[in-house]
Amino acid sequence: MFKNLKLGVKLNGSFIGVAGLTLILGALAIFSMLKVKTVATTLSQENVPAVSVANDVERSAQNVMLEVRGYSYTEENQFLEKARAELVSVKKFLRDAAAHAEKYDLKVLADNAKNADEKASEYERLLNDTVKATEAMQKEKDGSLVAAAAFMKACNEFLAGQMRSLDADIGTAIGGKLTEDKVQERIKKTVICNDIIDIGNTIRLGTWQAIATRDPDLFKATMKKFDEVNRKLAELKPITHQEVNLRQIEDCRAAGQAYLGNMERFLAQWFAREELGKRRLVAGNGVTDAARSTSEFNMKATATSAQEAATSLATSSNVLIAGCIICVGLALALGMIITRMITGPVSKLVSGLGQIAIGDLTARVVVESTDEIGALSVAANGMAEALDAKAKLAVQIGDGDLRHEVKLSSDKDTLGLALQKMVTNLRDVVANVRSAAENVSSGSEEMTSTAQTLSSGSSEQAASVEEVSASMEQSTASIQQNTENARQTEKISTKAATDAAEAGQSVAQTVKAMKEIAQRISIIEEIARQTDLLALNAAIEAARAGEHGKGFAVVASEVRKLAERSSTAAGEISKLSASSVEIAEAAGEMLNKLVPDIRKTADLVKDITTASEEQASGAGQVNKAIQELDKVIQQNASASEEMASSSEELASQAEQLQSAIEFFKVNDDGRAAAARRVAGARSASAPAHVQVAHSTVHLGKPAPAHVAKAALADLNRPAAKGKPSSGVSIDLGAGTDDTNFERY
Amino acid sequence: MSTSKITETARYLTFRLGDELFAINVAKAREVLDLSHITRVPTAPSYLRGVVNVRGNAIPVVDLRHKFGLPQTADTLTTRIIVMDLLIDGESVVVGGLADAVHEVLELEPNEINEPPSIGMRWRTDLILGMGRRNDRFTIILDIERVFSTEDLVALTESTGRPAGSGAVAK
Repeated sequence: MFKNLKLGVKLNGSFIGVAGLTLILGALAIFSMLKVKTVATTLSQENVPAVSVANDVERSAQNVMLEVRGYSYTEENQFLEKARAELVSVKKFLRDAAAHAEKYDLKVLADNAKNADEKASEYERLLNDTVKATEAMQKEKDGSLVAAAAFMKACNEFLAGQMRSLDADIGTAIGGKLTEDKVQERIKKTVICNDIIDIGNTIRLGTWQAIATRDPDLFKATMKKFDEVNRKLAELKPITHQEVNLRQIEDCRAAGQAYLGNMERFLAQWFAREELGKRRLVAGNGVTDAARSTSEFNMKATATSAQEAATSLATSSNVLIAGCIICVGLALALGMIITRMITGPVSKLVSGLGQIAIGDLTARVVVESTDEIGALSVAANGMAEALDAKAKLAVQIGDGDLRHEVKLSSDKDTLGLALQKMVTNLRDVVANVRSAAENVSSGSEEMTSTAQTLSSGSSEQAASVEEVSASMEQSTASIQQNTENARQTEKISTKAATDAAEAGQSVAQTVKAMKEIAQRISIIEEIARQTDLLALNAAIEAARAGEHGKGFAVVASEVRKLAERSSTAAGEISKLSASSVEIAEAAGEMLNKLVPDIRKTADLVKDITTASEEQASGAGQVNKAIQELDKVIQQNASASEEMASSSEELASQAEQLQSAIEFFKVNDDGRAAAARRVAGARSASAPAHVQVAHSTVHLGKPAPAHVAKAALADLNRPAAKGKPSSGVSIDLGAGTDDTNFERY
Repeated sequence: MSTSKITETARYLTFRLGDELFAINVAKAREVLDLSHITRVPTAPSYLRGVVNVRGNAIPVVDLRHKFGLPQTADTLTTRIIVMDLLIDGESVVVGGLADAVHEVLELEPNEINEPPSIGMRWRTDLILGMGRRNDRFTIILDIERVFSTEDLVALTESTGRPAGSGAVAK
């Protein structure tokens, strides 16, 4: 089944299978990577920032608590300010956390942030209460200092009073008025008073000690010492008699009470502050706990995501490795199977075709399958059969049997066409050779008779050529006469040119002389004019002289007339000479124009002379050519005899050719067709022969040797088919195409 | 027989202006000069061509064509200056007159002189003494001293830069 599939289907199916597997693997890998990418994005955008902000909150909250603790120990405001600043940053971080939670919709973070925010607000409120309590404690502390001072003062005053009384008593005793009881009483009072002062000092000491050690119990114990003070005062009261001293005791007691009140209030505030501190701690811890829980939650989420990503990557990696192994295995297996399926039949086909190639046309390829290779084998067998048929036909043709027709396998059967053409052409050739041999045998007979005709024509030609020779001699003589005349004319015209040039020069000299005459005459005119003027003035003088000048007047008048006449004559001469100059100049110009014309005439006559000489030499050459023509005609006569004997030999050769061509066997109809073709070719060439026979040779001028030879060759050619030539007419008239001939 | 102002045979100097022949009594003429360089006088009347130097004396030259109202032409070879001694308003003046040509000294009998025609003349008859006939041609005999009026005398005097009579005196 698979074996008989087409090669293309096999190859394409295999490649598509392998490619599909690869595609599935690639899709799996991409899916895993996308999943890991989502996890990583969540980690980087949600969990890590949440942990970071939670840590910020926790750190800041712890800082706040630390600073507040410092404040509560030292009660210094710088700790308080730092604590408040840290609290502000805690709130800021909490706001950041809330914003982050809102942005990524994180419920745990939102809840914790809200809870922490509430706790932070509470903490702030408690802190404010603590500050207030601290301030109140400070106030009570200051009050207690005043009260203690008042108490001690009252006690000291009483003691001082008793001491003064004691001194007075001692004085009195010296007087002998003092009883021992009284003294004893006074000493007792003094001792009690000192005790009271001692107790007061102890109370003050205890109070400071308690505050310094932050020990409320000690403080309470110290407060109890006031009972002792009251007891002492009560002891003191019965033994005191004087009003002043009683008042002092009362003052002491009141001061002590006030001091006690202060202390009690201080203690109350202290306890209140301690309480506030505890609540504050709870609130602060609440904030840090919330931050810590957020942090832990997110850390846990991060760990889980990372674990998920790692698992996904491991799974996809396993799948990819397995897929790759399967793909490679499948590709190798398919490649081997298909290669084996193709190479086996192909090598069989190659050996079969190799046998056909070395000429064994009986060899055949065994067909096993129906795929392309099977089709190729069938085609190769077909080719071998066709070639075998053609080879058999070629063997028959080789034996000379041209009667068989070639069967064509198709329009494009080149070998068949070539064979067909060969057979047809061979038939034609055989037919042609046969008819040509027949023609040659009949043509050689005709040639024999023609050669005889040619021989008689040649003798006629010889007579004509003699006539031509005589007339050529006459024309040569007249050409020489022409040449002589032209030479004379040239001499005369050259002399005329020289004379004309000399005449021109003479005229120019004349003109020059006339111009000089005109100049001289103008001088004469001037003289005549001056003479006229002189004569006129002489006449005037004579007239003015009256009768005495009469004779002179006549002379003057005559002189003036002479001057007038000479002036007129000079003017006329001047006019005449001017017109003569014009005429002479015109004559000179005309002579100058004449000279080149005469020279040109001389040149032209010279050309005529040269042409005539050339003509004369040309005529000589024509004479020579005619003599050669005569020789050639003689040769023609002998050649035509030789031709007659050659044509007989040609006839016998044609018979041999006919017997040789009988080797080829041809159908009669093919022979007739070939003969027809030959006859057509001959009728096309026949008019050419006739035309040659009628051609006229123009010998108006001596022709160049090659032209003459060509003409002679024409004459030599046998005019087999046309009318027999009755000689050659040579036209010696002026040829119109003389210019085509070279001059020498 | 015509009656004329002229009753004596006299000699006349004839000259030509345009196509017409004129004559003056030869006694008025001193000499005839060839045309030489004429020095132009600024602010002089238009008929006064200028002055010429005659043997050291400056003599005013009047263009007679202009004086007689003939069209101006270029000077030719025959153009001459007639130097005249004139007595104008009792003053002796030497003046040069520019003529197209000077012909001859001619003697005319009284019977050869006709009276000037009273009409058909281009010229004022009071300037003409008579019409001399010779060879069928008429010559107009001018009273040359009347031709130059008193105004002319002033102009002539100014052009030479001294009294008009001085020329005569210098002679």
